[in-house]
Order: sequence, then C-alpha cells, then structure tokens
Amino acid sequence: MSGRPDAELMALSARGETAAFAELVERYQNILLNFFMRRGVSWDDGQDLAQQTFLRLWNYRKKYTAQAKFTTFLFLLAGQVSVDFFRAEGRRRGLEEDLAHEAEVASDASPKQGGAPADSAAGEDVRRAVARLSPALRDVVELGVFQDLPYADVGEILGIPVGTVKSRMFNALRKLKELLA
Amino acid sequence: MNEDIERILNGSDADLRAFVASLRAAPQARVRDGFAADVMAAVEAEARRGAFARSLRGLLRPAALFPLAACLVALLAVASIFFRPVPRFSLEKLVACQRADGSFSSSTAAPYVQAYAVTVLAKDPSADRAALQQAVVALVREQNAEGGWANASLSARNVAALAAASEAGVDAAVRAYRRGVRYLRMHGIGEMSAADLSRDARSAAARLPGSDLGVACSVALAARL
Repeated sequence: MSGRPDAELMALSARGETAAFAELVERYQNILLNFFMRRGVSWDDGQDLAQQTFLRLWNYRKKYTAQAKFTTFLFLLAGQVSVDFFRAEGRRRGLEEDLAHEAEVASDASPKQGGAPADSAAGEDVRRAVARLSPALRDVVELGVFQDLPYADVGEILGIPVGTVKSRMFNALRKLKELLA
Repeated sequence: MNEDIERILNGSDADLRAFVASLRAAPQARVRDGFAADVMAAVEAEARRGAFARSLRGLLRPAALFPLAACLVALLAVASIFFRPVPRFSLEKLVACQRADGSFSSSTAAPYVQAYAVTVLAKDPSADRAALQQAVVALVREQNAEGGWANASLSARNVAALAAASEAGVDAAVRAYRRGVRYLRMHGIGEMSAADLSRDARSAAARLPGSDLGVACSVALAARL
C-alpha cells in the first residue's frame, strides 16, 4: 500500500488518474465492507454496496476538498448508499422499529451464509452485536470505534451535535457490553 | 453533559477502554479476490461514459451552440435542394393541367413549363398525341420571327423540347425546331440536349413552390423527366 495521503490520492483522482483511485479502493475496500456488514447487510450485498460507494466517490471526486477529512467524505457517501439500499429494500422502517427482527436479519446475513471467507467467531459475534444496536447507536459506534473518527467528524457525518455523539457512544458501548457478555 | 459520561468517554474507565480495544481488534471480514479489479473496471467504464457526456455537454455550450445550429441549418438547406420530395406524377395529371390553347401555364414564375411538358409528352409513347400536338402549337405560337423566344435561356429550353417533339414525329415541331436552331446559332447560344433539360427541370422542381397550377405541373414534369 502506498503511503500517500488520502487527500493527495483524491486530488490525483479528480484529475482523472484512475491508478490513484485504485489505491484508495485497495485501502478502504475491507473497511467499507465491514461498515456495511455491521449494518446487517450480507457479505455479498456488502461488496455490492462498497462498489456503489466507490463509484459514487469517483463521480463526486471533484467535489472533495482537501480541507475536509477524506474518511468523513467517504462515510457520508457510504451512509447515503446504505440508506438508499435499505429504502429500496423496504427494510429501513423495519430496522428502526423492530430490533428483534433485525437480529434475525443480521443472523441470516452472517458471513457463513453470505459466502464470506471463514473468520473467527469473535469477529462474527461483534458484527452481530453491533447490528443489533439501534441505527442511531450503531452509527456512532461504527464511525467512532471502528473507523476511529473524532467525535466532531462523527457529528458532521451524522448531522448531530458532538454532545449527542458522546451520549450515544456511552449508551452504545454499555449495550454492546451486555450483548457480548 | 453528564459527568459520568464524560469520565468514561475520556478514557479514565480502563475497563471500557479495553472493551473498545477488543471491539477494534475483532477480525474483519474481507472482500473477495478480484474485488478491487472489478471496482476499477466499473470506474473505468464510468470514466469513459463521463468523457462522452462531457464532450456532448461541450457541444451544447452556448458558445458552441450557435456554430452548431448554423451548420445544422446549412446542412438542412443543402439537403432540401437535393432531397426535396417530388410529387407523384402521372400523364393524366399533366394533361389535366393543360389549358384549352395547349399551354400549361401563363405564370411568369415558371416560364419553362411548356418546354418541360412538351418533352415529357414527346418522350412517352403512351402520351395523348393530341395533347402533345396542342402543346407544340402553343410553344410555336410564342416563337418570334427570328425563331427565338423572349430570351436566350427560354429559347434554348424550347428548342430542346421541339427537338424531342420532332423525334416523336410531330410535323409542326420539325420546322419550328430548325428555325430555333438557326436562332441559337445566330446569337451564339449552344443547343441544350434532352439530358440538360432533364437536369434543368429537376432543379426547377426543387426550387419552385407548388401552389401555382403551372408550377405544380413543372414540378410534376421534373419527376417524370
């Protein structure tokens, strides 16, 4: 993997250099896949959504400014792709209203059934537990814990104040501890 | 802000900090082999589509729009000359256009109609013989003492029509044709062949409006020649 900063690769991509964009794809492909899988999406669908996100990133590459953190930009797009997916599937409302049902969906969407390469039970347990969180809590965990974004960036992506990010993080971690106990 | 939340999230709670670390350390799912290549193939295709769309947008820029429109209008104008549809024609329609005195039009806008009509009737064996003879009579009636007509251009066309009528065996045309040829030679005007007349008639058909009866006949004749 190249050590070039994301912003530099985006600037090159904006000039049409697909090789630079390929580096970004290599760098973020698994991160995006896990982002979607922790939302209860199957391994197969997760890759489709990751591809859609990269395509959207390519189309929006000239809108990106180096002043903004690249991951903030990327996960904004990934969030939009995710919303579009659940809306298209008619599942978004069900996810928010029925956590129990969502847990089943997440179970169905586990890597074992989606054709993913086998990984440890711990990884699957974490994904399943995160998927059982409400969307509001899951998003702050995804961005704050797994993507290690500053709370300010998480707030910007989710459109909520930093204080709300912190309180949701607290509640989410407490819930996760219960689920993984 | 709840002080308890602040304390925990600031990392003073070692247990919670370890828990977050364990979450981050959990094995991650990995994309299938060749995923990045598939993405880049899709991106390359998108880039090609984008380039095509940009070139189209470039053509539609206001600055480029005027020359584009001008070219289009010019093309249509040229095409209208060469590809203008010509009305369907029949000898019956032609004869129906003939007036009682044998002429086909008194319109000054279509001075060559009589020449076209005579040529068509003369070259078609199935044409009404009487109509041909009357058309020749009308043509000869306008011939002046020198053997010509109002101007050199009209004279050349009428002589060509009389040549066709002579070949068809119309006696009245033979003598008038000889006089007409003498006139043309006298004034240094070259003789027009039947092929020249045909091209001339087609050109007229493309230019002339069809509202006037005589002009309509001219257009119809041009289709026939």
